[in-house]
Amino acid sequence: MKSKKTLILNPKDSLSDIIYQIKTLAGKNKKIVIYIPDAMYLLYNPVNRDLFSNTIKNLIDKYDIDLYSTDKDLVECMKSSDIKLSHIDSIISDEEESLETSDTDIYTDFLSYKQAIQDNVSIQQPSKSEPLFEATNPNFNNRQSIPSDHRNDKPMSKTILYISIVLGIVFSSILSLILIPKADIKIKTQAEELSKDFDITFDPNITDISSENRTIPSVINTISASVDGTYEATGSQVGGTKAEGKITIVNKTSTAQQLVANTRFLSDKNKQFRLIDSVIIPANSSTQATIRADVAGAEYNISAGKLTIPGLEDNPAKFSSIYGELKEALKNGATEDGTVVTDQDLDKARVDLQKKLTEAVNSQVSEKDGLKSLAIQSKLNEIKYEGLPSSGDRVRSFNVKASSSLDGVFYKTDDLDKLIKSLLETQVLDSQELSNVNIKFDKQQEFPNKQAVKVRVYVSYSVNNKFDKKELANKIKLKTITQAKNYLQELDNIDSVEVSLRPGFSPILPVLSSRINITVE
Amino acid sequence: MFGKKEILQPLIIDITENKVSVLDYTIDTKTGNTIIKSMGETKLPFGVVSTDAIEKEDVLTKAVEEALVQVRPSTSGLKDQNTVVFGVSNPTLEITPRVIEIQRDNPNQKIRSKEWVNTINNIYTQFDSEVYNSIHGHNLPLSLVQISLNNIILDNEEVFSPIDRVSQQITLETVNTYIPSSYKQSLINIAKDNNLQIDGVYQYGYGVGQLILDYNTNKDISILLIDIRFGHTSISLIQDQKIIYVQSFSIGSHSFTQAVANAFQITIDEAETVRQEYSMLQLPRDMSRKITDALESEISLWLQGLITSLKLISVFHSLPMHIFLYGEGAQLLGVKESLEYSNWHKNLNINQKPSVSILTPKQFAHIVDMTSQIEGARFVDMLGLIHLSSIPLDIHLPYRISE
Repeated sequence: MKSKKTLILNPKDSLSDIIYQIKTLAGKNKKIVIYIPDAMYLLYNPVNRDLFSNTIKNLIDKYDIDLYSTDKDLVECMKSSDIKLSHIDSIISDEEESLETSDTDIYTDFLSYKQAIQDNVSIQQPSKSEPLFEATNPNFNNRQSIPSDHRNDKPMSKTILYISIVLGIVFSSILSLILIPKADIKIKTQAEELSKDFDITFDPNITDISSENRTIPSVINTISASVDGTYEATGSQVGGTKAEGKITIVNKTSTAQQLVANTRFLSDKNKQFRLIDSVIIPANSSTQATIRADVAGAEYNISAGKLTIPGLEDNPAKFSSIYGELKEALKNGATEDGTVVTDQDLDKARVDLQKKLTEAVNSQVSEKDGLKSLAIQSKLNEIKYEGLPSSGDRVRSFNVKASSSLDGVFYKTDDLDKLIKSLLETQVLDSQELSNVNIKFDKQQEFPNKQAVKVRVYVSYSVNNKFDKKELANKIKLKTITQAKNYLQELDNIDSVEVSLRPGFSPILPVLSSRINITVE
Repeated sequence: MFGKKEILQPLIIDITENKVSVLDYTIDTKTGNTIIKSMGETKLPFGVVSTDAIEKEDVLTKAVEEALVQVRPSTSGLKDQNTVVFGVSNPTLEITPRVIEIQRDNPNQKIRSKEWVNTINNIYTQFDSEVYNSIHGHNLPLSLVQISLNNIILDNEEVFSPIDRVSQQITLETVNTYIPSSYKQSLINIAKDNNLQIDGVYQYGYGVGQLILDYNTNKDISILLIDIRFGHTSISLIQDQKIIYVQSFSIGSHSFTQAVANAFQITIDEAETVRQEYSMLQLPRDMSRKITDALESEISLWLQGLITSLKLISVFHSLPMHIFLYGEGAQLLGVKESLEYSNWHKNLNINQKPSVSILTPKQFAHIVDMTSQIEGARFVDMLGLIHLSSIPLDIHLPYRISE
């Protein structure tokens, strides 16, 4: 009985697909049958038909190929070519009697397939690796059982035994000569240096890497920093400096009390101070405020204690219940000329603090929580100052604390490495491996806020050959040094090969691959 | 007031098996330059468009809509621009020369524009009403999409324009383009669904041929255009400023990509990237070597298809000595080389091997690309359509939908 493989073409197949399928099937089977359905319009094109016919013609010398079609017009067209396309109806009617069961089954399948195409039923496209439909003669796989070996049961004679012992000794001597040697092989390879560039998108709106879209996730982080500094007041104040300091104003009455700016405070030594800004002291409460001496002079550096409010003298109840408490002695009153804060002092302090803040933030921007920065805001967010005096304040020096933050886009270097490697790996053969992958950016991008940012990434990398040391050892075992060297040097990207063999007189490499030690550099 | 004046032109739509592209262009009235303003492109899944049919019209309509949005966002105010030009090319497309003789009722009167327009309309009606049977013998219904006027002969004298001339008989030599009726109907439906009016449907080779000829000082050159599109290769012979012959076969850039995908067991998208990088010499040596091996038989099959096509052409026409290669597969390393370094021409009984050059958009200096995306030989087809849609209509007769 004949063994046949059947291929039914699909009208939606491309010419390359059809030729590939036929060649693949012919490579595996001596006898094939090709069915061409209706609506195979591409074969009406004379050039396509010629390419199709030539492919069949080239195979027909080696293989038994039969072609059938349901399309009478195509059968007519193909008459001008050198291959025979038979109309399936005529074949069935002419040879109905002689058709084997498997042939009629194929025909039935083909007709149902054809019907499916006509009915526009979704038909699975034939893959290139496997033909759409194959039918095999079921008897093909019936194998005859192989008779088992019959052993000779005769007892072994003595002579044979002696010969065996002698042969055994000779054999083991030869074997030990083969087994004792050990080979050390050093292979130096040449890596191929390559470079490439990609557009990579860092997207804060995604969570996973996509090699198809060349995107990796990014995050927007805020880097905060605070710094401080003490600055000298450089303005001069003729005629001394007025003492100034904080007091706590206590209100023990049951109503809130407002004290306007310039409200007088009197110490127990009759030194008069004035309130700088208006305050309201809630009932049964206290408030902090600043007072300044009426007159410049060191005598106003009073010690801690109670200060009364002369303005409340008319109301004895309030006078005794609302007062100021100086918690620390005043020290900044001076009789001689003093210093005041100037606008330049303030500007200097601000510039210095901003510089310090920028440095503090910059020291954190390259990396944060294990993430690397991609783009950073070019300007600091609003700077907040604490303790910044006003211009004209009579102090010798002032201490200011400044704090601010900067937003940045960060990414995981692992993500970028993974993406680049996945892109490069499509270009590396199974027998090769990537190494020395260096990734560089074109430049720091503008801060993109929440938008995805596309960056040109430049990659340099090396491609090395992978060596299966075990397989190599198997290939060169029992070879002479020269043969082994020649074999290894013919492999791709080999720079040099050094072979050393112990003992030195051993003519060939060991028989055991485990005694061949291969080092690849 | 002193700004550049622009004339709105039809949108250009190119449909292949894997994508749909739309170009929007204008003509600068001061310089005459063609300005490509924007491009839209939508990828198509496999099975939406096959080589000779639009399989899923609804999906394609949506894809065209998406591409249109890219070229003219709803805010751009381009509502007046509602005409479109389609390109066609596939192995079932047929180009047939026809000759029509018309006897004039009043031979002593000069031919006026009105009479000429009526004559042309009559020709349309006559061709449109004809049932066309494929010259290749199949039963797939085909429909007329384009009539190109090759020659106007007035009483045996060839003229460029018949206007104001006197003659008894007008002989028109035309070249008619037919495509599968279902494909034509799909184009009509897609245009309608996107609120567009079809301005013309042209064979790509005709457009590119006109583009080359109109910007070449030597009008008598004879050229062979080889357009390697996604699913097929189309060969057009241009002689005496006319399209003389078109032949195509079903091997295109996708066949090359598929060969790479098969060899490396990778997806088509990955193979497409690898194929492009291979052509730009960006791949490691060993990888390139493997790709060369994988492509060898496919390029050889392509060359065989080309030789067969040229043999068919050479039966009636002499072959030109210069070949222009363009389209998606033209820049694949090995394709141009297969024409330059093998002796394929000996199969055609010609002594000298034709020279080969690859056409790219940069070679057309008058076409200014404002999008920076029109790069590579695959855009040449669309430039051909741009050229055809911007030249006077009396040179070629485009497809018109009867009301």
